[in-house]
Amino acid sequence: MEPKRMHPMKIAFLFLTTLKNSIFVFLYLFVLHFNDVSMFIKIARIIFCVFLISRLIAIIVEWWKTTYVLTNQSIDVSRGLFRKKYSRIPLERVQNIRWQTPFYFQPFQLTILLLETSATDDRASVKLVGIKRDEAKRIEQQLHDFKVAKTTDIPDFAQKDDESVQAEQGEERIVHFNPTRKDVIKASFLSFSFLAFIPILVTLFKNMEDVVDIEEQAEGVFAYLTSSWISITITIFLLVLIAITFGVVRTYLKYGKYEISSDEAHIYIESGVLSERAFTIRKENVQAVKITQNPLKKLLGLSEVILVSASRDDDEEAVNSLYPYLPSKRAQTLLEELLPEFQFTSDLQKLTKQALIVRMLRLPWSWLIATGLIIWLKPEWWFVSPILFIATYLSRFFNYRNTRFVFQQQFIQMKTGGLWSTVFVTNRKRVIEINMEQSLLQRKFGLSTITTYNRTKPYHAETLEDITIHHAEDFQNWYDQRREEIQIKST
Amino acid sequence: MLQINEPNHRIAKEAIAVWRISSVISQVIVLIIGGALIWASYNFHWYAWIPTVLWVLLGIDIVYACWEVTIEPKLKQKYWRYGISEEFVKIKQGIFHKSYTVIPMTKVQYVEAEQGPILRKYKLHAIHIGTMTSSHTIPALQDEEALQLREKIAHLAKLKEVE
Repeated sequence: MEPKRMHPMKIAFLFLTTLKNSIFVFLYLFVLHFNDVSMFIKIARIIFCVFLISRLIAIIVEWWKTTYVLTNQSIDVSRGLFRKKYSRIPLERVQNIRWQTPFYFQPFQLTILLLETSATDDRASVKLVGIKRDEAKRIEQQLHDFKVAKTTDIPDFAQKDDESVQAEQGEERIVHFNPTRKDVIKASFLSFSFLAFIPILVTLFKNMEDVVDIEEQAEGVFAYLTSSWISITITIFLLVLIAITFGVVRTYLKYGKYEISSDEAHIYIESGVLSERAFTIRKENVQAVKITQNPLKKLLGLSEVILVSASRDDDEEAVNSLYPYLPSKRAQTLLEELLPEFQFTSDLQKLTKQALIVRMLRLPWSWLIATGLIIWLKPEWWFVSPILFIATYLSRFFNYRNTRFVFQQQFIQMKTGGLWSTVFVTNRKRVIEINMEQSLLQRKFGLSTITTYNRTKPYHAETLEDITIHHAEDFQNWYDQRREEIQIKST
Repeated sequence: MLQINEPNHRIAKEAIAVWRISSVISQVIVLIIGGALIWASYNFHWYAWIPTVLWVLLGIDIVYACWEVTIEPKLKQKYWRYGISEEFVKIKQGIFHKSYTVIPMTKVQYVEAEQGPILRKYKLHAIHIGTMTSSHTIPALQDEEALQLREKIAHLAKLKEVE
């Protein structure tokens, strides 16, 4: 097959990314110092422009010299002008597929296709920026076919008649979730959370008044704004209004159009009003499921479901989350529909009283250090120390009271955290290592800490503190049973 | 701490001597560097609080060194256990803070035997067992035992799970 080049819009995409990343430099040089004629600013501006131009040239060269070929077994990408680089990613290693379509790609029928593998280095994933949607669909289809051929394990797959292949692919996709208008409004409401910052803003403004010498800055805008309480109030009000609008619009654009669907083997997540994103994950690649809630979501009865898989946790754009604002009840039923492999139960164990005692006895290191720093640097802020002290012990108490766990059959479920809580569910086959620990203090009270490890990139550890020795033994026995359910590959 | 299916193989007694020697070596290095810093702080008139802090750190280190050279190796060896079965590698360790790790054999990616100069003197090997997520060490085994163990793990770990 002919090596293919990406669409020229890739140049636009990469250049816009560069601009986005250097927006602060731009603002500093051309807006804040608009009237500045000093040598430093002049030189800085020239350097900045040279940087932009050279970056543009580099991007064009990159576009020109990057080609890819899709074969039956792999995707081969070649890049580089002087130092040629060829990378080959075998199709069987591809785990997740992501589509990402910035709004300016849509008129051109283009998209960005990201194929993720479980490897950890940067060659682990292929990013095809600016390929036709049809082409992306074709690649996805080929990957799908490859996996089907692989899993059905029929050597003469090639001779299989088209009909049955069609039947495999044509499996009905079931749509599980579309947010209702109510859901979107609730989600937007959560962007109001910064209202809590108002008191902070007010104090900040007040302090500014002391710090900035108003006499000197009398003509400045700032001085005008802080000159009376009315203008301060209006300014804050406007700022808040802008922030709210921004939050609502942003939430709507991101989560207004959303769809979770699945077939036999995959989960599909599609989202975005202007810039679209799609994420396909094979169910067998989901290592564990996490349901998280923050205090505000608790109040509104919403929760977020996160699929723990070998995709990049650090990527902000990643859609590992099913939907961040799922109604809590729906979250559980949705998981039952999507991933019956992970079962939730409400029949859970609690921590014993000993756990509470141990947690109260532990030295509050962060409080001690914070208090030490306050006494040393800012003695007049002494009141922060008791507040921190109370917060520390309250959160310890909440964490104790909210912790739940169970290991039964092949499942393990752990709920940790107080106001910010996490429910973690996985099964024995997916746990690739366990650890039990016991500190001196825990031994005195007959307690233990357990940790499970799941494979991601490179791994996900989940820890449960202060369960009784008896339960830790159960946990170990539970894991020992693993040998009975795994199948060994014949070699 | 846990009574069931516990690993029951101990590591070599000579481990105590090995740990003592390596602790003495590293502590001598620490003392030389610490002494040099204290000397420099007086000689070059650094801030007055610097030598004080250095003396305190050095004092703490000396107390720790006594523990590390005399009692700790004995206890560490006494409580170290490992166990290899067809299904699992189990490692249990710790004097005050106990830790117990269970690794399915099918998840073992590599196993290697290593021997530094001190280990060689006592005819010992350390075994490193690596998985996709972590690496675990059995610090001191008799040469023959170590190599046999390596072969055994390598053999058992050949089998992989259907995922």
